[in-house]
Amino acid sequence: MSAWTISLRVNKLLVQLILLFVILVLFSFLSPYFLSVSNFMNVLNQMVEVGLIAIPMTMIIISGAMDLSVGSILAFSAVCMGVAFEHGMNIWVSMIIGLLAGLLCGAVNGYLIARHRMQAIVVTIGMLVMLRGLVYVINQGRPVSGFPDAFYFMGQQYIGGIPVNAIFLVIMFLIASFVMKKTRFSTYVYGIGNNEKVVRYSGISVVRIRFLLFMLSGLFSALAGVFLVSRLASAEATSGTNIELDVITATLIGGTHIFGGRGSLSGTFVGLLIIVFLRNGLNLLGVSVLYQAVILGALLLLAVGNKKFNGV
Amino acid sequence: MKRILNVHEAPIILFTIIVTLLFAVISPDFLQFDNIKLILDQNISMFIVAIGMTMVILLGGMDLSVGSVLAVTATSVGLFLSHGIHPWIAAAMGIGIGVLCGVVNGYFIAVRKIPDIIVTLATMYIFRGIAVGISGGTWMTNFPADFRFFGQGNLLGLSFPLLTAIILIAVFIYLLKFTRPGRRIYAIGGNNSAAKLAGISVAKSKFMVYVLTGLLVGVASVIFASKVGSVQASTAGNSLSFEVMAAVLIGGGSIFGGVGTIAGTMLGVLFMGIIKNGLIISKVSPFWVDAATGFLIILAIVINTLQRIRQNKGKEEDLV
Amino acid sequence: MTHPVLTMEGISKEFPGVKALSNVGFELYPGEVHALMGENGAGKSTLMKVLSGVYSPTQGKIRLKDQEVTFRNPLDAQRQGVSIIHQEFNLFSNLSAAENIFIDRPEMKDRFGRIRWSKMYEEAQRLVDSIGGGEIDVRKEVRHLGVHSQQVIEIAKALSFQADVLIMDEPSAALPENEVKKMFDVVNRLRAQGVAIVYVSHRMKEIFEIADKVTVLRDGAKIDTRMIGEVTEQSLIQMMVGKAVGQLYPVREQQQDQEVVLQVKELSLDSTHRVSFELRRGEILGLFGVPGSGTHTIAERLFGLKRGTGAISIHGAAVKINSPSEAKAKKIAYVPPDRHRQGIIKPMSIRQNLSIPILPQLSKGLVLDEARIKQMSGEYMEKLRIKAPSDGQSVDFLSGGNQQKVVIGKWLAAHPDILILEEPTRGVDVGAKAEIYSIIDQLAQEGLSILLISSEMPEVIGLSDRILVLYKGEIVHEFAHGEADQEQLLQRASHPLIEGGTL
Repeated sequence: MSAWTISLRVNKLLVQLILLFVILVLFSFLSPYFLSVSNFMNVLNQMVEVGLIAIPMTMIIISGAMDLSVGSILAFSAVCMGVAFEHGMNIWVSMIIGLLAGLLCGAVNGYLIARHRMQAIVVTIGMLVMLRGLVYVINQGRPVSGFPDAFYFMGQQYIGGIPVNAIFLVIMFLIASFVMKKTRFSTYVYGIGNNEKVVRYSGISVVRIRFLLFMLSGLFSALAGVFLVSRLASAEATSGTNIELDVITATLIGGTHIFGGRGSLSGTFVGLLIIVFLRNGLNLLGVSVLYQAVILGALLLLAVGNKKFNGV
Repeated sequence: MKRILNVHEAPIILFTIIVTLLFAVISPDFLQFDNIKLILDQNISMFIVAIGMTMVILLGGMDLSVGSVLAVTATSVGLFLSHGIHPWIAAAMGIGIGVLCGVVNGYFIAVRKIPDIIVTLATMYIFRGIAVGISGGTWMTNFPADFRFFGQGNLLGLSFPLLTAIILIAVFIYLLKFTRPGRRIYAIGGNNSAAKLAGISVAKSKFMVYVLTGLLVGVASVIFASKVGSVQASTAGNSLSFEVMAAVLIGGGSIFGGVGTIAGTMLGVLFMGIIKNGLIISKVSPFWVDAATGFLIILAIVINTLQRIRQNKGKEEDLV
Repeated sequence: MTHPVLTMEGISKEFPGVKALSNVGFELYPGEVHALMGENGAGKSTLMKVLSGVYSPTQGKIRLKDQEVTFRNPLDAQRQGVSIIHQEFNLFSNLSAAENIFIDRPEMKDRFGRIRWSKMYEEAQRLVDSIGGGEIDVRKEVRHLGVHSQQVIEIAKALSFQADVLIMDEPSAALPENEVKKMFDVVNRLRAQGVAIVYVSHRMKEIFEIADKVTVLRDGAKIDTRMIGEVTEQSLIQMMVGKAVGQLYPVREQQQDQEVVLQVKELSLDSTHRVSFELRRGEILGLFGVPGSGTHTIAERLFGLKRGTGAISIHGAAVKINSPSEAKAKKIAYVPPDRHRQGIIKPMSIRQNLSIPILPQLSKGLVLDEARIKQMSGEYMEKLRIKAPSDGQSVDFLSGGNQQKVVIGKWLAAHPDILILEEPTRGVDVGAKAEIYSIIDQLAQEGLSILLISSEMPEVIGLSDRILVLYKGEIVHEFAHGEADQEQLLQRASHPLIEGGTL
């Protein structure tokens, strides 16, 4: 690594942090409610779903692929869990069913993409449309609610003033970051992103790694679904719609390279903070969700188009 | 027989025949003249948009934003009409907005060289947001009677939208086969670097294709708005991009570019239309229709992969 | 001789920190085949790029037909009459041969901008016929054509621009042996038509067969231009290397060890039929055959990249190998032919590249053991004499020879029993070649069994204890140690039916 790349990397992180800082300062001026502990905790509480999915998404993009089906998997898992609960199952058993549903979706993605080398984007778009359809088929679009209080612990409780789910998210990020730095799995993922063939020719099963990545994506999307249901106390067919925009924008703003091979979870975490504080600020200013999508879309274009971010 | 199987459109022709027979057995109404007319009629917008998507995919690209472009254009047309602008001028302005959206996509993809998937993913949200914004979140209805001509009128004994679609299809088949800009699209999709060496401006071709796609979506949205008689910005053309993409792939287009024809795509659109219509006629829950669309997309990529494997038999290297 | 069609005067090309060409002069006459030779890094490819319009020279002039010219890009050069045919063809596999020749050419459209397909097909067929490609149907898509036909299409494309000068970069590299002759026919026809040809090749035999003149470059400077009759293989090598060639190949001692490590019985897949052979401990077994003969397929099959029928046993035990990871578990290692695509991960460090096949052994549980990885990479950098400031350096910045050593090293670290080497010195300079050869020899002496697949005959002959010759997927001959020379080897590999029919 030459000094040049190092300075560039520092530079990239610096740009991200400056952007975050600008957003924080800007909204502090624009909204009187923005700069307060309760609002910040609120933001932390709301960032968990996007954050959880961003973990495997970062890994998948580093490996040179993409998963657009995460939002639908989230909804599918949430509704599966809700329906299982409605059928009289224990809430924790229902939760496991939801997680398994997500894992299954990830496995289908992984099977088609890893084993049969199909284009990740098209396969996951197919899953996106199909699962969203199935969500409505399963439950005719009715929301499910009335979960036991114990279950809300995950999404609504605070420990020492900090939301439980945010603590969980940070722990997951730390674990994932460790995995992506210190284990051979990370070498394989970065290796595949840079030159898949060499990894295969080194006697490593690329199929297995790719499969694992999409399984992880399915599992974390399901996990996000569970936390969402716990936070909102309701499993809805529309949940997770467009979440891929937030996730992918966070990942790419965080410096992960769109063509794979480069990126980090710490970068994604900063990207995540940028996204959630931006959304929160816009919410406080009363900007509609669809206009927020416009701003996020523009930010996504900026992140990928700007040389300082993607480092080429 | 072998020659027939080697035609790229072979699977789609076969599938279309199979599903047609299947639905004919399930429901006696299916093979009625009126129903066939209905299938064509309902999918006019899709036929037109699919022309653009075929070119995009031939380039090796992808356009996820067409559904949102349709929403933005249809909404603006509605807005123009409600301000009392003459239907023909409103339609022309709407098409102009479609072109403008194409210019935006083209600029970021061809000039700024950002991957098309990212650009169109972003503009998918951006255009949708703008559509909802300018509509104020309400339904656009009460279009003037004159405007109905675009979706329901007759010209020379044929329905106007159908005639428009046929003309556009013919024009673009000609462009792709007999003009240099058309052949450049195939060249770029086939071998990008060789195209550059042959002096072809990849950026120009890309830009042109996205602008033309915007134009086609503009035309489609005028027909769409007129036919439906109302527009809801937040849902209009919601899964259009995905469906059209599936139609191109099912119709023999290769996701890697360079291979595919407009004729094949049109068969693909027809196929998707038949499936949807058949499901509805067979009284299956409408929720299943979306699920089926997703399944068809996956089916399309499966076919695509199989065709690729067959063509590259013995050339394993290329697959990796 | 007539007037030169192309003259290059005092061409220099500098890149930041490197002087790739210094003051090179070059003259080319119509109707001559002019070979351009030199080791890797001698400046051949830079000179070709200057000539074909990829680079513009830092200094110097190019004169084409007495006119001073500058080429803004390859297309511009092509339009002015200088075309280049790269080793990897620039064809559109999805388009017809005719359209490949005339892609995007304004003269193929009529007044209304409509492409005149019939005219295009006619002219394409005429061009292809004129260089002896009459059997090619120009309406066919290029992906259905063979390599030789594709090359003919490339040449026809150049001719369609009225080429005066045609640069051919390693034109025989991709061709099977039997088609090289066909390519020579094409070159001879071009020569007869008065086209000047720059023929770049490493293959001595071809140079003497086809070239009229030869120019040798070394270290970015021109050494000399001679008529082909004035030079010998030996003198050319001396000009290229700058000193008499020392002992390139180590003197191999015949191995006495008879323990069979790998036994292959009746291997069949793709074009290979029932190939059987044995590999002993400490033996270097050469596999030789022209491209398409099946040597590459055998390597892929043994390493689990392809599946097929037949039995493989290692140390006497039957094994199944269905994937590279299974092959690795059976202690088979494979150094693939294309290191850039199959051997190294460019942006990653030497250390990461060396360790990637054996990370499980270098981990404590799931966590990487950095200390052991460092120790391992240091050990193999030293053992293979990989020259780099540190093992943290990205392999991207290494020379070809050192990159190749990294690929070999990463497999040695896995302590294999069987090492398959395919084109181990492709694109490697002479110095590094000798080093790699001595490494291979040393490994065999340490008891490693090596399967050597190479298209360089001297390499196969110089290193192997035994050589198996393949032709169209079958073993047609076996040479014992010291039996083979280049002529015999090539003869067996291309005409197996002569002398009593080994088939």
